[in-house]
Amino acid sequence: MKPLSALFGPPRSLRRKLVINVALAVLFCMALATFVLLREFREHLKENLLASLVHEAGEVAGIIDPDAPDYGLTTASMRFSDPDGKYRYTLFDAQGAALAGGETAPAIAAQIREAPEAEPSMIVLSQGRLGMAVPVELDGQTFHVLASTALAEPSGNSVADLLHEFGEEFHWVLLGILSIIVAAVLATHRSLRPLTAVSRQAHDIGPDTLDRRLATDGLPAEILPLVTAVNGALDRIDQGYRVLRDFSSNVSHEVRTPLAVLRSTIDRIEDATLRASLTEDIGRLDQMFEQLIDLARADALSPATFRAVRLHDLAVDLASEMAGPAVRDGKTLAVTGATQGVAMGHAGLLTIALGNLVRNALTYSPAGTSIEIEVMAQPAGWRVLDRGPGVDDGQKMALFERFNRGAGPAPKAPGSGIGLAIVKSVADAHGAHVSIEDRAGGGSIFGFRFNR
Amino acid sequence: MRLLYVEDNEKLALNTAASLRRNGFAVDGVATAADALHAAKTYDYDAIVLDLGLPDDDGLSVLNEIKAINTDTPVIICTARDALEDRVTGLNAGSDDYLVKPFDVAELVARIKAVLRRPGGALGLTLTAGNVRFDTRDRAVEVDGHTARLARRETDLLELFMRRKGRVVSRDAIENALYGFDASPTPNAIEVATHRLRRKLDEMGATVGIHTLRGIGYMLEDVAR
Repeated sequence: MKPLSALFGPPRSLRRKLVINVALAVLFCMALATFVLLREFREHLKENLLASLVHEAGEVAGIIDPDAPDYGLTTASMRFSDPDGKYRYTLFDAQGAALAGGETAPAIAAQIREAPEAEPSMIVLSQGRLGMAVPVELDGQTFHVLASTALAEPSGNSVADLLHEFGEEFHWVLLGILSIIVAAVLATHRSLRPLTAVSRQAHDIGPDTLDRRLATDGLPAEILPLVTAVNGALDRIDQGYRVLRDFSSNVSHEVRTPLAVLRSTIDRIEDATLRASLTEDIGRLDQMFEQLIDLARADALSPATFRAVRLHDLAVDLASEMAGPAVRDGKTLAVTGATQGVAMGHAGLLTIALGNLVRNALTYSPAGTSIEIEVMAQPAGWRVLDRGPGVDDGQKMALFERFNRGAGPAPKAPGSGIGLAIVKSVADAHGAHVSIEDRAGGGSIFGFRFNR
Repeated sequence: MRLLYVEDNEKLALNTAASLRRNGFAVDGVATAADALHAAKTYDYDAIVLDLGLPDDDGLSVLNEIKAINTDTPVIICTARDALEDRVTGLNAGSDDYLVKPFDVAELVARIKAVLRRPGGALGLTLTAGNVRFDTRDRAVEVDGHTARLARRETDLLELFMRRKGRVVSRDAIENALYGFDASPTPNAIEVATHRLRRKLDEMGATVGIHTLRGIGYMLEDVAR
């Protein structure tokens, strides 16, 4: 069925509808043509028959002799009556009385009496047969010669012949129908092809690529208004989105600046204890604010901005940034695993996601332990291995929800509770998968795996 | 030691400049790209701290122009983190170091000191880390007041580590600094040199130690004694 649907299109497709409608229309036209043809043919047959009856009746009329026995007609001859003894010819007088031959009945007699005396007239016989009565004027006396059709219906046979003939030539008709359908399918296929390109363009339009528009080249005139209207809608969305984005970028700038001023003011405080405490508070505020911005950016991420990211390089750069504070906390970092892995993605947000996993591991790991970033090439991704307290099975996936901080032995751990939710958002935007497993020998393994 | 500090927020500039002065720097503060360029042309600063978010011009083009005027003047870039992601290539090309806002003044001071001590800067300097002193003029090393006997490669290595104390030094960076681009070391030459340097520092009772970060690099950091 696969190739069939390739030709006719999936259910509800324009192409399939067109094929079905064209096929039905062609069949209807064929039926109509056949019907008209048959009717014309039968009409023609009947006219021919009646003309030959008149001719025969005229011939019989020519040999009538009123003085001879049986009016000179040899009523017993084959020509006069058919093999079943039915009379082909009957001679009537003006009053409708049968003079020679036997095709008569009161109904026939009545029709003969009514028949005009100057032209032939059609007589309806028994069993739906027809006959033609021809008036003859002999010795001042009017006679009517009736020529009747035989019992069998000759036109029926001719129609059957015609149908048979038609059936023999039917493959030509079939070829005609097929060529019409193929022409219709090709026409739809060719005029719909630009739509595939338009769909692809539409697929790549996201918050980061709102300046793109659908191409209108080569589109069928019927679809052009739709695409133009969609482009118009995109213009309006783009404009609205720009306002929003400028707003959030303004907000992030407007909030960062006073935070930075506040921090620089705190740096000038002479009292070291107070300064340290305030610095810690403002650090937490900074982190929370930056994470909210990360979350908003991850949610709005579009695959159109993805580039090839070297997973090992990203991990090493990140680990280099984070190693200083980690070592000062008495912990250490390591990058292991493949050096070749590459994935398509947004390097900035992937760095933030992996950074959150590492920061999370550092937060919950005791001093003297090592946090390992393992780079994986097949399937591409990272694993962050720690020797922390581990995560209860019931808590595992809930950890990736927003503002859900793990219950457990580190209740005073810094963090806003959205670090792992950002990881999840970034993963979702990349079609990647996050996981938490227990690590043999204690601790957890947080995984971030790209799907192929 | 005279610095040019380019920051358009008046209050932030005031506070940071005050903190820098308290750390012994002379600071000229300007708020626009035009003023920054004018100042950089007028005086040969020891280092420039440049905020990328300036009102009148893109910070990166200011960076390029400053570098065109004086290639040797070290420049430290300050930028927001999300702006950083888009500009990492530009920063790597032009600046000597960058700081992600928000930052502590202590971190800024450490970074300024590190770039000042680079070979590009003509000033002879003494580097200190814990009880280790490194005189960049005669390349003499003292640990806790006693002269240390180090091989040439170990001395180079220690200088590199001390200039980047508390930060990771990658194997590539060590290779470039110690062996240049043409001569490549034997596979474990760096490990051997690092191992010897670490042992000598330990034996002399240094209060800094070299940490190995597997797959990442090395880092000099204080050790508890």
